[in-house]
Amino acid sequence: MSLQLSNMTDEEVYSLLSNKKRQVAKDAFEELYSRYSTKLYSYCKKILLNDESANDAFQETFTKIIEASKKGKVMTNFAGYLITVARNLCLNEKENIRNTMVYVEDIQMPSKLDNDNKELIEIISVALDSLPIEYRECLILKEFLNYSYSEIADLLGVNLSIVRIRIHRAKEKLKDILLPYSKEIGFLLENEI
Amino acid sequence: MSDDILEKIVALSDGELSSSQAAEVYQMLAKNPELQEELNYHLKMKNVYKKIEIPLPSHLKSNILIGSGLAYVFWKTKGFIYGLITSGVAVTAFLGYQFDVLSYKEDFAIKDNVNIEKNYEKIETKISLPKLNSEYKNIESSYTNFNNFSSNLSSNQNLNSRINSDIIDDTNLSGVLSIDNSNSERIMIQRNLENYPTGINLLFRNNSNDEFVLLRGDYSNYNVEEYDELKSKLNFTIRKSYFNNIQDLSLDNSQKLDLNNASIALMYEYNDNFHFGLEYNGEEFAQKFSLNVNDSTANYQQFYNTYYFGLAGKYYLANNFLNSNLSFFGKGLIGATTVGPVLRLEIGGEFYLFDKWSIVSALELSSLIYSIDGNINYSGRSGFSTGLKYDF
Repeated sequence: MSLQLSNMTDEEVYSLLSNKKRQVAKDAFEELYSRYSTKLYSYCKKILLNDESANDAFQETFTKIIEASKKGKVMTNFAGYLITVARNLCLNEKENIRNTMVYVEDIQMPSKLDNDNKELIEIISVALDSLPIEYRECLILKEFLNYSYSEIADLLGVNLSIVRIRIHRAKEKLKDILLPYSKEIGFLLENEI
Repeated sequence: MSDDILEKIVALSDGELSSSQAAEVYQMLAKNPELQEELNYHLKMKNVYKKIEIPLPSHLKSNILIGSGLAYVFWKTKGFIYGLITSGVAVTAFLGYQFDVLSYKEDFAIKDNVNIEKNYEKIETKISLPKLNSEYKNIESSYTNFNNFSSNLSSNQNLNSRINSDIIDDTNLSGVLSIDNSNSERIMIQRNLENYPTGINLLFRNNSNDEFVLLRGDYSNYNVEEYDELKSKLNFTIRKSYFNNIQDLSLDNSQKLDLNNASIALMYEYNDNFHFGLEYNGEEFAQKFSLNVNDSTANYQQFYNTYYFGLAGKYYLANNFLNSNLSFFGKGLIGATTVGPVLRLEIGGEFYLFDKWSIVSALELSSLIYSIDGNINYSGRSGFSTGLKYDF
């Protein structure tokens, strides 16, 4: 029987990362990875828009978390710390990849869609990538990582009202970008909820 | 619609309005179908966002595990790196030895065409040649028949007592004449082909035709050193075990046959039967232990990879077998790891291949005794090992 890590809090599992028994530390890592890897990678990928850089930032984030545990850092808000580390790494990384930004004009949208939801969702994803970084980041934190406005404000170090404005503008801008596909999107949305 | 109202609609769809703010927006929504449509759009889009898939590359996880030391790949392990360095040193030493970089020069001059069998090779590598006694040097070239040589030597009183006792005529291939010049007080006594002291010269007699050959060296540049005597008694073995089996840990995945286990050993030949020395091991043991966290107890197993030095003793049985190249041995080792002692027993055999090389195989039992949380445990392993031995 393995330790019931799934019943533990993030902080409790984090504390096991520094366990001298390697298998315990490895299991703890696996647990945290299963909880956060998808969200964290989505964040890195959507912020950096570059596979290689996203991979680097993602791996570095987890490595720093493990190192922090080994150095005895006490964790009170694991999720917050994780995303803070990832954000700092992404911002540093972003300095090197300015030219990989996606601009609305560069988006190659197909002229005709075959009512394929996957294709449509891919278009929405690409449109999301074309948003300015400050809007995009707020939207990702809200929709992909399920952060509240106040949590986003704390993370970014800005006022709550600014977060609200950014998310609103992000969504409105996205709507504008997707205007040529309003019919298809409308069809897609009819099947939602 | 103003930006302010649209902003509140978005915030409402995100569940970020207070109850009073939400009530205010609901009042506006009741009067405005366009606003309702806007809210509906954002609510549905939230589900669309969830469908955006960003595939997570599978290799990232293992990269993190390896990078942080929670897992390893074979070619990055300390054992492999140490093994590589050790192998490099061993190969360098071997090549250096072979090409006389690290050794003195042995310049044998074989005068006659003698049937030299492999035992000669073994002898040659174990002897070292001092300056030849001038008397001996003068007469050695005068005789080509062993008996004549021997009888003529008997007239030389100075050498007679030594020569007569030093002719070994009971071997299968030859007689051996030896004179110790490294110490004038010591006459060559050793008659056992496997045990030669430093400073001897050899006279081989071919039993079939009674011809002999005297082996001598380049005496001018040679100094007898204790090191050479020591070196002749050293051997080096590298071994790796396979098909390992472990005790049942009564846990999932307890069967792991591919345990890392390899060693290098430097042994000293105390006598024909008993060798002892130092062995450096990389070995993997299965461990089990319990862990308590939050009133939850779990049993764990892990494979503990350790590197340690051990003292080894090896006892060879007398070689009474049909094949003189084959010998059998029993071996014991006691080692010290950071968590406890290791004991290993081996029974196996050695088969002489060529030159100084032998192949070694053994069946082995190994056990790590360790303490976890105050409880003494042991981890057993049985396996088959094979390796190569080099006699210096």
